[in-house]
Formats: sequence, structure tokens, C-alpha cells
Amino acid sequence: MKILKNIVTFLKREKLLTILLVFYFIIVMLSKGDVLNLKKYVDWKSISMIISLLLVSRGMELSGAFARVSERLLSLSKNSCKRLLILIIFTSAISAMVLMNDASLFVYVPIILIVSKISSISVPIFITIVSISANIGSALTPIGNPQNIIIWQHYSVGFISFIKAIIPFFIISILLLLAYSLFLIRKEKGSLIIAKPPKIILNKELFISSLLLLIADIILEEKGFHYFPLFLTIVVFALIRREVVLGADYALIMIFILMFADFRGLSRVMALHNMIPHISSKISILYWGVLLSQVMSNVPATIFLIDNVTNWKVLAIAVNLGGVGLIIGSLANIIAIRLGKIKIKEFHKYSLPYFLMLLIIFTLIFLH
Amino acid sequence: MLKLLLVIMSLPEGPPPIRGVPPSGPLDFSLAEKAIELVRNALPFLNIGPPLVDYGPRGEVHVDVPLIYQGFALDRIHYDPQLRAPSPKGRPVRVWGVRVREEDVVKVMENIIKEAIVVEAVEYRDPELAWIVPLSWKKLIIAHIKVSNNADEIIPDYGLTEEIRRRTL
Repeated sequence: MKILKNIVTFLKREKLLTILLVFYFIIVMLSKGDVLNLKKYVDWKSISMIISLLLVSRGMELSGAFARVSERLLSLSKNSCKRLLILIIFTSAISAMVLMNDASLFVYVPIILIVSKISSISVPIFITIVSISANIGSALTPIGNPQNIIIWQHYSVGFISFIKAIIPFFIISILLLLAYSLFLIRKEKGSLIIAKPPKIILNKELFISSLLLLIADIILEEKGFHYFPLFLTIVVFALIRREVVLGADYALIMIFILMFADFRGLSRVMALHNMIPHISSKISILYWGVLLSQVMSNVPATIFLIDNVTNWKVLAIAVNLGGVGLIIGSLANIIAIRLGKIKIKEFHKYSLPYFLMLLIIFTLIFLH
Repeated sequence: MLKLLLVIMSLPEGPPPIRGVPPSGPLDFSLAEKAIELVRNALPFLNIGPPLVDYGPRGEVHVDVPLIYQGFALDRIHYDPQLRAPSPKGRPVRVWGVRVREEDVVKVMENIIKEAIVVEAVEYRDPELAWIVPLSWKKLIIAHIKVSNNADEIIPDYGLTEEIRRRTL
């Protein structure tokens, strides 16, 4: 009885997991039990890589190294609001390329809150911009976010080939974001009063170990040792920093597994009933990817489309573009709002115009 | 009888030993003032994290509020939902039949943290090689801030930081 009560309490707390679990039972019924065969639906290689990179990015983040970078931004900004925003855009984007987008937000949103305590900056603008830049930065590398890991694994794309394909999207998006941000803060006062906050302790051993693990994980994955990175990551962290392994978000891992079962299952059920149209042109992939991301978030959208789309480059651009815009587009947006304590309405006020501009640009590009 | 004899025979000679490890080495007590100063400088930048609200199976409610600095949790403050105020360290509160709105807790605690002061005295924890600087509010110690041995850096509570990450997602 006590176990049952604990399960109910857990499911009440993990709302997303509960929704996905209910949806899973519906999909099992619709597929006449076929989705019970998880081996057929869940891409365990991607799941293993996602877990491994979640642990590594947590290790890097907990080392305090990125907190040091964000502290440095304050002195580099030389009391200029514009300079600080530009620095935050670039550093959060670069950090998200290696840290994963959500971890990047755990580093940069707090620094915005610190500045807001001593200067009058517009917190909603800064939080929205840092959320967009983390999403854009994470789009560039196969390890930047879960949807890229899934595409990287599913289509067996080379690490460098992936980056080369996404570079144009990254450059256009970041330049547009820069121009848009400067437009948004054109009325902000030029100077900030920034005192130097005391430092968080830096764990060099944890940072170096995490960095080496990241490099080793990528190399092993590229060489085809698919499950070895996870094994190596768990063993190393268990030896040097048990909290990273013990404190891992196992509910989030369950969420990713259920996402595969639910949305791949849904896609197959719909395909059986001829409910999915032919998605082959660049523009149709773009719009399917973007619109589904806006409705169901970009990771489920990627899983839903992956068996129906052959052009992985456009799919990657579509689901990363779809992560910007509405809050549901990406998990990172939800984290930014919760950490930054801003209202959803305020987030949409600044994110939607940028999203629409970017969508128009890529519509024009893919039409030609 | 045989058992008693064996117990008596196994007793060591002389007084019982003192458990634990000897101090790590000489400590510069002047660093205590530096540790206090460091926390005083960090105080304006402290934030309130998402409240950790737990409902028990019998309807009891327990609320802890994390103290955040640069995205890291430093300590948890016990919160009394009935009094709408913090409870002193060492006295977690459980109440029954109360629904807690997280936004209300954050609002109350954000004001309280502005009124918090750094206690002019420290503790030293040898096993952790850290100074512990207490934060007080209306004569109650509500949190402990851990500072490195050399009093240069703040040490987060990594376990609590992980818990908050999980709950934020």
C-alpha cells in the first residue's frame, strides 16, 4: 500500500511523465499492442548517448567553470548594458554547443538575475534572448540538444558533417538575434552598476574529467562503440563524483524513452491509416518540423518525423527553428521562464516576432 | 557465562579511545573575518529558488526554500506555511490541511531574504575544510553559507543543486 502511495506521489510530481504514460497506454491500444515491443520503437543508441551527455554536461556545470565565465562577463561588459547582452548571446550560444541548451540556461539565467538586482535591466528581454541564443547555439552541434543527438544517431551523420550542414542556419539565426536584441534594448540606459560578486568554488578535477569524457564520448560514438560512452561516463563519475550519477534526473530519462514509444508509435499508427502525407520537399519538411515543434515540442516532433523524412539537414533546421517561438517549442524555454521567474506572456512578446522573422527567412531560402 | 568472559577479555586496556580524526592542521583564525566579509558581499546577490513543497500521504505539507547564488543552491530554509515565515535551522515544519502556493512562498521569502543579516561569528567544519557562516532573520538562524578554507570562495550544496535542477525540469 505504501509503495502504491509513493508511486502516486511520484506521478503527481512528475506531470509530464504521467501524461506520456497515459498517452503510451492509448498508443498501445491504437497499435493493438505493437508499441509494447519497445525494442522496435525506442532508439536505445540515442537514449544511451542522451544519458551520457546529460551526465557530462551536469559534471561540467557543477564544476563551477561556467559560473566563472559568466562572472567574467560582468567585468568584460564594462558597465554597458548592450555590451553585456552581446556577450551573453555569444557565450550562452557557445556554451550550449557543448553543454546542452538546458545546462547553458542554468549558468546564464542566474547571472541575469544577479545583474537585475543591482541594475535596472529588462529581465524578460534578457531571459528571452538568452533562451533563444541557447537554443540556436545548441543547434550547431550533434551534442547540443536531444533532437540533434537523435538525428545524429538515426541518420548516422558524421560529427563534422552535421556542423557543416547547420553552420548557415546558425550564422543567419545568431546575426538576426543580435540585430533584434539591440533593437529591443535600444531604449535601455547605457550603463550598469556592477559590483563584483564573490566567486563560487571551482572544481578543476571535475571540469577536466567532464571535458575529457565529452571528447572520449564523441570519439567512441563516431567509431561505432555505441553503448560504451555511457558505461565509461558512469564508471568515471562513480569514481570521482558520485553525486553526478546518483543525482541524475532518472524521470527525465524515462520521459525520453516514453517520447520514443509514444510519438514513433503515433507516427506508425498514422502511417498505417495513410494519415501522414508525403513529406519530401524542403518546404514541407520545414513547415511540418516547425509546426509540430510548436504544438508538441521539438524532441517529440523529431521522433514523430524521423521515419517519414529522408532529408536530415532540413529536418534538423526545422526542429531547431521550431524550438524558438512558443514556450512549448523547447524544454529550454520552460526552464528559462521558471528560472527567470518571468511570465509566459512576456516571453512570447519577445520570442514570437523573432521566430516569425526567422521562419520567413528560411521559407524564402527553401523556396529557392 | 562464556560470552561474558569473551566480552571482558576483548575490552581494551585503559580509557576508551576518542573517535574521529585529528584536526587537519593549523588554521588561520583571522580568516574567519574574511569569510564573514565574503558572505556579506554575496548577500545582495542571493536569490530564492523554486520552493520544494512536499505533500505526505496523510496530507502533511513540508516546505523548504532553497537559497540560490549564481545558479547554485547554498542551503535550504525551512518554511512554516501557517506562519508564512521561515522556521529556524534544525526545526523543519510539518503542517496538515494547508495548500501551498509556490508564488506566495517566493514572494514572502524574497522580502525575508532582504531583511536577513550575516551573523558576526563562524563555525569551522574540519572534515569539510570549510567555514560556515550563519544567516539570521529576526534573531533566528535560518541558513548556513559554506565558505572555502582560504575564505576566497563560496561552496555550494551540490546535492540540493541537483534536486532543484530535477524539479525545475
